[in-house]
Amino acid sequence: MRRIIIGVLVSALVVSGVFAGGKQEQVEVPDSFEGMELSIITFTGEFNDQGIVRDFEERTGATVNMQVVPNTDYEAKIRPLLATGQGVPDIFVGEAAYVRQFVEAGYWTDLSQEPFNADTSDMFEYAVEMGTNDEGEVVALTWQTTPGGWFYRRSIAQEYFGTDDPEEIAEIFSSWDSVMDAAETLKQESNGEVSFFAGIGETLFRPFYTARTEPWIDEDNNFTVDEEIRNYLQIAKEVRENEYDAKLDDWSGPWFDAMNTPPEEASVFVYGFPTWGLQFVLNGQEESSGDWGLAAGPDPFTWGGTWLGIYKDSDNKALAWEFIRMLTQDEEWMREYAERATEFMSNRTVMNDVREGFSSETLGGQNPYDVFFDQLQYVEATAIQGFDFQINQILMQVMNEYLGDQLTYDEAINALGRRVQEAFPRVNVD
Amino acid sequence: MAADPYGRYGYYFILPFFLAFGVFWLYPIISTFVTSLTNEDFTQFGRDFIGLQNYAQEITSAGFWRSFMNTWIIWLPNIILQLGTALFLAVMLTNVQLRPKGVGVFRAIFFFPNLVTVASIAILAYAVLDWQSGVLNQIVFGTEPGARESYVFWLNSPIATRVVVALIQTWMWFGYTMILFMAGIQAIPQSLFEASIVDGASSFRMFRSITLPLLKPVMVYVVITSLIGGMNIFDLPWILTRGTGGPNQSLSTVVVYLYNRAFRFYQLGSGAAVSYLLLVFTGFFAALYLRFIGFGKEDA
Repeated sequence: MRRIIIGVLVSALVVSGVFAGGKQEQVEVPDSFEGMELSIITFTGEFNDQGIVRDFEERTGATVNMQVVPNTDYEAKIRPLLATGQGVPDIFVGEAAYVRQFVEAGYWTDLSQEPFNADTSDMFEYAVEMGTNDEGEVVALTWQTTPGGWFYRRSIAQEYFGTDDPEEIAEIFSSWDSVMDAAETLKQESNGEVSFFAGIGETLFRPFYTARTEPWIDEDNNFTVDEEIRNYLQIAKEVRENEYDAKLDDWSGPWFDAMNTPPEEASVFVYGFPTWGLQFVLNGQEESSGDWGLAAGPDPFTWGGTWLGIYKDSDNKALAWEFIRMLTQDEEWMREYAERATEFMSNRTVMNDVREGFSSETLGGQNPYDVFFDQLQYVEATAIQGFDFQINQILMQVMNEYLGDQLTYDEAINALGRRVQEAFPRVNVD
Repeated sequence: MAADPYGRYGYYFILPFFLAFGVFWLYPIISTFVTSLTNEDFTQFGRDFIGLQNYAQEITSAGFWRSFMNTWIIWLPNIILQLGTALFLAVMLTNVQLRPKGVGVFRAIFFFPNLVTVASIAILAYAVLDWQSGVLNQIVFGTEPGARESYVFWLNSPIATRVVVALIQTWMWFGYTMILFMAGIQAIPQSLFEASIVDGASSFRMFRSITLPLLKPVMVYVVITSLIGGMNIFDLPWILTRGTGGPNQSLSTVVVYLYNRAFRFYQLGSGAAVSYLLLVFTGFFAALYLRFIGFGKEDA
C-alpha cells in the first residue's frame, strides 16, 4: 500500500513539474516558421471563415491551432486560464466590451518594444487607445474598426419623408429632437403600422454609451452615472411610452424577420449597426437587399471589435507576432483582405485606398465607408473600462424594469448603483 | 491479525473509484472551501487569505438574501403541488377497489416530462411566453394588429416568471414522484387494506391511517431530494432570463447568484462562500424537516 502512495505522489510531482515550467525568455526570431505551431483562442469564427488562418499558414508554413469559444462563454473560459497561468494559448483576443480589463491586468506582452516595434502611426486613434495600458505600452492590436451608423429602409423613407437620399435623411437623424419628431410623424402617418425603432436595444444604447465622458468607475473607485446614460434612460422611456418601437428584442427571431421583409412590407424604419452589422447581418437579408440606406445617427458610436495580443508567458512569441503583424501591419495584405471580406480596417491609408469607388449592393449602391470614415474622427475610447460589459448588462436589466414601470426614474438610477455594488463590492456607491 | 496474502488485491480493485472520487469530488470540495477563505478573483493575479470575510460579506448582502428567498418562493409551491398531484395519482392508480386499466401507460406518460432536458423546456417556455411573438399572448389576445397592444410582457413580471418556473418544475417531477409513491404503496402489505375493509373503513380512512403513515419513508426521501434539487435550481431560471436574473432579480436563485459572483463578476472567493452557505442552509432545513415529522423515532 505504501508503495502505491509513494508512486502516486511521485507521479503527481512529475506532472506538476511539467506544468510549472513558465519562465521569462528573450524572443528569438527563427529563420523559418515552417512546421511550427501557433495556438489561438478566440470567440469569433472569422479567422477561419474569412481565410485569415489559411493565408497565414500559406505564408509561413506554420500550423494554427484555433480554439473558438462562443462569445457568451469566452470570458468564463479564458479567465481561469489567465488566473492560473496554465494552458493559455500564444494569442488570445479581447472584445471591446472587456478588452480594457485584459489590457490593464497585464496579461499581454508589450508590442511597442523590440523585436515587435508595432507601428500604430497610421491607425485610427481609438483603436490604439483601447489596446494601450496606463504606462503607454501598446499590448493589444486590432485589424478592424467598428464605427456605426443608422441603417434605414429606403421604401419607408420615400413613402413617409418624401426622399430616400442619405444626405437628406441624415437631417432627420441629426439630433434626438428631430429623431423624436420623425418617429411621431411615422407613427401618425402609418397609423402605428410602421415603427421607427425595432426595440429599445443597441441602436439606442450605443450612441449614448460612446458619447460618455465619465467612465462608470472613476479614479477613486466611485461609481458614476454619466449624463449621457441619464439621457439614454429618458429617451428610451419616451420611445417606449410613445410607441415608437416595435418592442422586439435584439437578435430575436421577430427582430430578424422585421429586417428581412420586402420593401412593400417594411415595418421597422431603423436598425443601428456598426461595420460588422452590414457585413454579417444586413448583407444576409435577401428580401430587403437594396432597400437600405445609411446615415449617421445623432451621436457617433462604435460597437464591438476584436483586439489580439500575445500572452506574456508564451514561449512562441515570434510566431505569434508574425500572425498579428500580418493582420495589423502588412498594408498589402490588409488592403487585399479589406476588399475580400468588405472589412473596415484599422489602418487609415488602407481604408482611404479601399473606400474609393466602393459601393454596397445591400445599400442600393451607397458607399458606407464614407459615413463610417466620418464617424471615426469623433470617437474616443477614454471612458471605456474593463468592467463595462458587466455594468452595461446590469443597466439593461434596470432599463427593462424602468420601461415596465416597475421602477421610477430615480429608483432606476438607485437600483443601478445598488446592483453594481452588489456585483463589485469594492466599488463605492453613494 | 492473520495476513491474507491476497487481501491487498482488494485494495487495487477499489483504488480506481477512490482515485476518481478523490480527484473529481473530494478535491473540488476541499479546494472550494479553501477558495472561500481567500479573495481569489479571476481579474487579478494571486490571492490572499482573508478568513471569513467572504461569508460575512455574503450574509450581509441584500443580493444573497434576495436570491435565497427567490429559491424558496419557487420551491415551496412546487413541492406542495408536486406532492399533492403525485400522491393523488399514485393512490388512484394503485387503488385496489378501482383497479384502473392501463396503469403502465399512464405511468410512462406522466414520467415523460422528466426525460426532456431542462434547457429544451426552458427554450420552449421562452417561445410560449415571448412578449411580441409568444403563443400564449396570441391565444389569449388574438393576432390582429390591434391586439398587440394588450399583449402582456410575461417575462418582465416577477410573479409570472416565478409561477412559470414553479409550474414547470412540478410538471417535470410529479411523474417521478408518483412512481416512487406507487412503489411505496405497493410495498404496503395488502393484508392491512383487506383487514380495514373487513372492519368497514372508508377509502379516505384507509388513506389517512394506512397509506399515509406507511409512506413516510418515501415521503422523506422525496422531500429531502427535492429540497436539495430545489435549492440548487439553476438551468431553468438561467435560460429563461438569459442569465440576467429576470425582472427585479426575481429569478436570481442562489445558484444563479453564485454563478454570477464567480463567473460573471469573477469573485471566486465569494462565489465559493455562497456555495458553502447553500450547503449549510440546505442541511439545516433538511434537519429541521426530519425533526418536524419525527423521522427516526418509532411510531407508537
